[in-house]
This record gives sequence, structure tokens and C-alpha cells, in this order.
Amino acid sequence: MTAEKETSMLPCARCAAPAKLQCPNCLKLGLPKEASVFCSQECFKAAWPEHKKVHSPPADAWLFCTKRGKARADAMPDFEWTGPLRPYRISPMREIPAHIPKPDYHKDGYPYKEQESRQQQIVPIRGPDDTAGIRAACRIGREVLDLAAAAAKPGVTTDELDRIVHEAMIERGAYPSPYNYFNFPKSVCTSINEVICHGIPDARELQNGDILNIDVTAYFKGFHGDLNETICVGEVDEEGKKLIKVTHDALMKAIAACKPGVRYRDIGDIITKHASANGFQVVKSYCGHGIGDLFHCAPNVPHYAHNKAVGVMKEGHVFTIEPMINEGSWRDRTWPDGWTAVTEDGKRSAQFEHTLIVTKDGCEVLTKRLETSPPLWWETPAA
Amino acid sequence: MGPEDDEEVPLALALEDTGPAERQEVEQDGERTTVPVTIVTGFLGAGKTTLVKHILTANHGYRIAVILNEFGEDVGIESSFVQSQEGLQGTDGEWVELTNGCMCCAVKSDFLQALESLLERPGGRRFDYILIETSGLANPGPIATALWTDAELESRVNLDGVVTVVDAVNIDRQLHEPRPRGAVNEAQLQVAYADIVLLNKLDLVDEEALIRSEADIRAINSGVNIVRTSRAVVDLGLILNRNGYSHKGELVLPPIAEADDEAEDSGHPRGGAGVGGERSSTAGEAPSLRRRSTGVSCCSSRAHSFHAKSGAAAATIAAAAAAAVAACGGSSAAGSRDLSPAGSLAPVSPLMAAATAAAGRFSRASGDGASASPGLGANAPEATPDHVHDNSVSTISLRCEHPVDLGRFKSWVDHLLWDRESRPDEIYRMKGLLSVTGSDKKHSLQAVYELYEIMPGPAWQAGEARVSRVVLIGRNLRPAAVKQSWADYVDSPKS
Repeated sequence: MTAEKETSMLPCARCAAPAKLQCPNCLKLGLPKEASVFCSQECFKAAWPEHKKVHSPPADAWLFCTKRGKARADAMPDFEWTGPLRPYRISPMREIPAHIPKPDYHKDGYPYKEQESRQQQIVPIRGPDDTAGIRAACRIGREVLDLAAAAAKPGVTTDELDRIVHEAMIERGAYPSPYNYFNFPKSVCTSINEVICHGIPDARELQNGDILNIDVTAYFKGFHGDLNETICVGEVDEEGKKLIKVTHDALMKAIAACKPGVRYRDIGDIITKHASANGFQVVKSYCGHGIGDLFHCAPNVPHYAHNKAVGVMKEGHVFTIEPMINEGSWRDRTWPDGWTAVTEDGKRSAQFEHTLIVTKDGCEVLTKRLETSPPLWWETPAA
Repeated sequence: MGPEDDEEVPLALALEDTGPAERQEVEQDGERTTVPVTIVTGFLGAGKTTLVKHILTANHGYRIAVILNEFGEDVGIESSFVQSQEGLQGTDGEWVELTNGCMCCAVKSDFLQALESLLERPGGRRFDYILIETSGLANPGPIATALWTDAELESRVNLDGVVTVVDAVNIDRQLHEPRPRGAVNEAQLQVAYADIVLLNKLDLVDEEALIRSEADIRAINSGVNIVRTSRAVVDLGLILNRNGYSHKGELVLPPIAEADDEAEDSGHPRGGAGVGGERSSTAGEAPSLRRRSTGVSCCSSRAHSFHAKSGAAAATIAAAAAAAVAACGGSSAAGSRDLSPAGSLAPVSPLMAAATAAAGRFSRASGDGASASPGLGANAPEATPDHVHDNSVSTISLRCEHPVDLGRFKSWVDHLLWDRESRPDEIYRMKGLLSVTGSDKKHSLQAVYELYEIMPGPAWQAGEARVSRVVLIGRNLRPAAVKQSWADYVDSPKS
């Protein structure tokens, strides 16, 4: 080993001599090193008039998302990518008209009400008014998901799907719940292939053979409704189709078991049993959640077996079940954007989600599919 | 990204070399060992920081990361990390920013994810132990609950134990101070969740005060190991690597018979114990019929010296009751009897720590007025009203002579831990050893606030009495109601 680690020294962004210093603003914003290192303060000062532009790019620029949505970068961040997929640039954040009622986090990204709510400890029991409100939000979520699913074809970008979702929400007087939730930059989550969840819509065109999950949540008249489906883009291979169907069926089995008196921790056992029987593994890092006037609240509903989830279902409980099931390992990593969760081994992942309410002797699926919903791959398309 | 057009050129920072060379070194480190986490808690001024410093400077061979939670008072620990960008101080004093994982619908709390990501980064990989020092008013429960993860998650970070440092000078007062609107007393919570208590400032108090302090502590947490310390100097073997929350169901409990023999030997009739021989002890409870039934006279001058140095210091329930009497100032501790304490549960058993904190957080959120539990008032005609309010965290011990049905037992635990809204009592921790119908294995119960786990462990030995024992620590416990539900769910003849 040579004494000087020359191969790891970056060149000055201005004059290419070995760099010893870096711009503090770039460091703070998490911008890529290559454009932010200099050999000396003098070089840095000379480069400053041009360099500082990277700190505040033009408003209409398409950039890479970083820092969980709080910042942008002009170059793809470094990462040990686990599969073939890469992030693409995302479009500027869309406008939401003033007349649309917005949740508190729209302002600065932080959901104060949710984080401080007692609903994080106690599962709310929804009365008839709340239930009607949640049902309406779920219905809108379903309609909007169906629109996005119908549009997802090879060549269409996920950014385009985001536009469709965003505009469809506004048309219905609803707010797209993901928008600015902890600074999430878009109105829907689009998760392709090895992305487990929370994929950010970007400039990438969908490709024939992709499996795509579209996760929609609507905020309407004070209530949220949350659902997602994984669909085939063009022609998908047999293994991918199997993964999608097994995930769907695992969810439906779990839903079939829901009724008053069932422990929340039992759901994970049901889902895992079905996934394992088909050779798949269940993602453990993300779970189902209570929902209502808050986006996420109690209960926690893990999807893996032998969990210590708290609580027992009661009539009036509203929550989601949203298993994410992988071809390979259950372990996940997070991309540099701070949101996109991918499988550790780069193999594919599928997910399905419904919002349910527990009834007297079972449960009702508030986000159920409509006659008009685009058929899932194994369903006969409407004539 | 604000207006920088007129800004002066900032001073460029020295470039740190985190190039490929270091990445290679990182990749070669294939071993993924688990890192234990010990929570150090204790009231204001008890000596937590002194203990942490002592640990950091001692020669133990660990590379310890210390996390200071300065914001744990009124805010749940997750929020404190999200809002305040808490730093991490390595042994060489370097501050490292903790990164957060995804918050919504994430199974692991932000705090846990931050700890894990700390261990993944190049600078963090050298740590093989983590200490969390809570603030003086913290409720250790939510922290412990966040770290007590399901085995399935295979987290690198493992809760090891909760160490509570207690100020011998002030603890008596601290434990008895009521809180506004009946909120729970943090000092009580910190004791309730302790796996081991360091009774500190030995050099500043006399024996009588120490005995009173120990009595107070035992009345809340009957089985905890108490180690007397001066300037927080303690054998690190007692503090670190207690392996308190192992997923293997290994639970070391002292022979159950010992605890009972203690009471028998004292020569007092049990009386009033009723079904299942339940005993209870409460700090601050005045002498009462109940206490007599556990074999301790209210005027007993019997005081027990708890060994500071031995690792097996734990009081019997009866001794705890005696201690509680002494705590009420029932008598001066003239004379002392050296007992080799046999405990209801061995101090090294890791179970208890996590439950208390979460409960405290809940009670803080609810802010319900906490009146004295009716049970105590009814059965203790001589109870002093102020004591009943001050020290409302207490212990109940239950036993069952025949094997329990596991399904019904779980329903009982569900009922105790999860049906909180309609009841004033709050369970913080439970631990137990069960004999289960249809199984040759001892089953261990661990409960921490709302989370619980029942794990099969080693097999029963030939000749061992297959008795089930459960200890509960909680607030506003109503012994009659608990006893009744135990009888209904678990100890009924047909189960």
C-alpha cells in the first residue's frame, strides 16, 4: 500500500489540483462532493460566483431528492445500489389551490397534531360520523388509484402518474395525504420492482415487465383513506405475477380473520404463513397502522410472525393492513433520498393495502375495489 | 437555499477523507455482533453522570457509545430525537449526528433506527456497547420499550438492562412527593423499572437512612438488586452485560420455596391471604391487618441489611413488607438481622426494566387524577391518607400451585396490560415463571408496559415444585381486583 492515498483524493472543482477543502453550504445541503471541493480558499473564492448557484437551483429544475425531501441535488447521490433501479430527477413540487382543506403538515412538513396525539397510544373507536367521513375519503382514494392504475403503461413516467393523482385529488376537493408529509415531495408513492415502498415519482419511464405499486392516500373533509395495489406494466414474468398474487391473497386472508376479539399480533402470523408457504419473505420494517383524522396512529399492525403488537380488535377500530412481500430476503435498505425502501438483495417486492373498519362480527373493507376498477392480472378484464 | 447572491464567500472546511480506502476496511468487517444497550436512569442529582463517567474511564475493554437524552422530561423519546437532533458522544468526545429512519408506519422507532444507523457508519462500527443516560425526570419505560424489539427483527441493538441510580440522601423525600393532577412520580417509575439499583451517596448518609431507602425501593420493586455505592463506584460486572432481555427464555429465578419459607419461619400465621396466597407490599402504607398477615409485626424492629457486594441481594416479600413498615417510621431500626436475601425473583433476571417507563408516559399523557386505590383504603383502616397518595407504585405477587392454561393466561395478561381505559390501575411491569399445562418446560413471562412475551425455557427438574409465580409492579393497584382476575382467569380449578 502506498503511503499517499492519492486515488481517494478528489480534484479541485475549479483547477483540478488535489482538493483539500470543501464548501460548507454544499456539505450542509448534502450535495455531491465532486462539485464542492477545492484546493484552496483562493480557488474557492474565485469559483464562488458560479459555484453558489448549485445551492439554489432554478425553480423549475428537475433534481434528485435528498435529505428525506428537505433538499435537492444536481447529481445522483452515491449509494451501493442493491438492484438495477436508480433514482431519476423529480419535478418541482406541484401547487395545491387555496380552497383545498389541508392537514397541518402541509405548512412545514411536520405533522404536529399526529405526533402529539393520544391516538398514538389508544386506538380510537370511530362513531357513525367519523366512519362516514373515513368512508368518503377511502372512496376518493379508490377512484384516484384506479385512474392512476389505468394510466400505468410502458413509456409513462411515474411523474406523470403523480400528476394524474394530484389533479384527480384536487378535482374531488381532496388533498393528497403524502404531499409534504415529513417533506415527502410528491402526492403518491410509486414503487417499482425492488422498491418495497415509498418510492418517489420521478422522470423514469415505466418499462415492459416492471411490477409497480401505486400507494394513494386521500385527505377529505378531515379524514384520510389509504390503499395501494401492485400492477403489471405490460407483460410480467411468471415469478413476478406469482409474487403479486401471493401478496394480494395474504392480505385477503388477513382481512378475513379480522373481527372483534382478534389480537392485532395474530395478523402477522397469518400473512407470514401464506408468504412462507410460497417461498417468499415478509418485510419487517414497515407495518399497518391506524388511520382516521390522522394519517398514522394506533394500532401498529406488523406483518411478520411472533410480534408483540399491542391490543385487541374492537368494533369501530379503523386501520390498514399492507403486507410487503419479497422474492428474496426480508431485509431492506433506504436510498439516499431518505424515503425509498429497497430490498437488500435487489430482488422484487410487492404490496397490497386496504383500510378496514371492524364491525360487530367482522370487518368492512372501506377501500374495496369497484366494478370499474382496472382488473388485476388474474381477473378477467371487463368485456 | 435562500438568497445567497450578496453573501460573502464562506470559509471552506477541511476535507475529510472518506474515500474508497475506508470503505474497503468497512467491507472486511463481516461480523455482525449484537450491541447491548444499558439505560442509566435516576432522579435529578442521583449520580447518573458520575456513573457514566466512571464507566467510561474504567478499564473494561469495551468501546462504549454514550447517548445523552436531555429532552426526555415531558416529551417521548422519539419526539426528542426528531425535534432536537440529539448528538452522540463517543468515548473520545466526538459528537455524531444521529440520522433518522422513515417515521410513518415504521416498526422500529426513530430512536432505535438512529442507534442502528450509528453502528453502521464508519465511525460507529467500533462501538460494542451503548449507554443511554436519561434526564433526571425521565420515564425510562418508552426508551426500554422502544429497544425491546421482537426477535424477528434481528436488530443489532439489544436492550440489556436498566440501571437506576438512587440518591440515598433524598430518595425518601423524592419517592413521596406527590405530583400535580395525580401524575405519576418519576422517581417511583425509575425504581419500578430498575433491573439493578445503585443506592448512591453512601458516604453522606447513616445506616438508618439507608435502610429506609432500601425499604422504599423494595416496596416498589420487590425483587431488585440494590447495591450500595459511594460516588457511583460499582463493579461493572453488575451493570454491563446483564443480558436482561434475551430472547432465549432463559430466566434465572430463585427457588420459589425460599420466599415462602421466610414467611413461615417468622412464625406468624398467614391469615387473610385467601386464594393463592397473594401478598402485597406498598411503600407508604401504614401498618395494617394485611401486613400482619404476611408475618411481620408493625412494631418489628427487624431490619435487614442488604449486601452491597454480593450479586444475589433480593428481599423476600415479607422482608419487603417489614421494610415498608420501617419506611413509615413505625420504629427505629434498632438491631439488624443479616439475611441472605432470597428473592421472589433473582436480581439478575432482566425482565422488569422496560415496563415501567411506557406506563409512565401513558399516565402523563392521560393526566388522570390518581386517587388512592379503593382496595387499600378499605383494607387498611389505619392507613395514613398522605402516604396513600404519595407512593402509589406497588408490587403484587401471585402464585398458583397447579399448571396454568397458556391461552387463558395470555388472555389474563392481555386484560391487565391492554384494558387500561376503564381502570385506574396501571401495570408497569410483570415478570413470572410459569408451569404450563402440557409442557415440561418452565415458561418465563416478561412484560414491559404494554408489551409482553412468554417464552419457553429450560425443563423442570425432577423434584422441583411446579409452581407458577407472577409479580406485578404498577400504580394504583387494587390487590382485591387483581387477585380476583387471577382467580378467574388462571387459578380456577378447571384450568
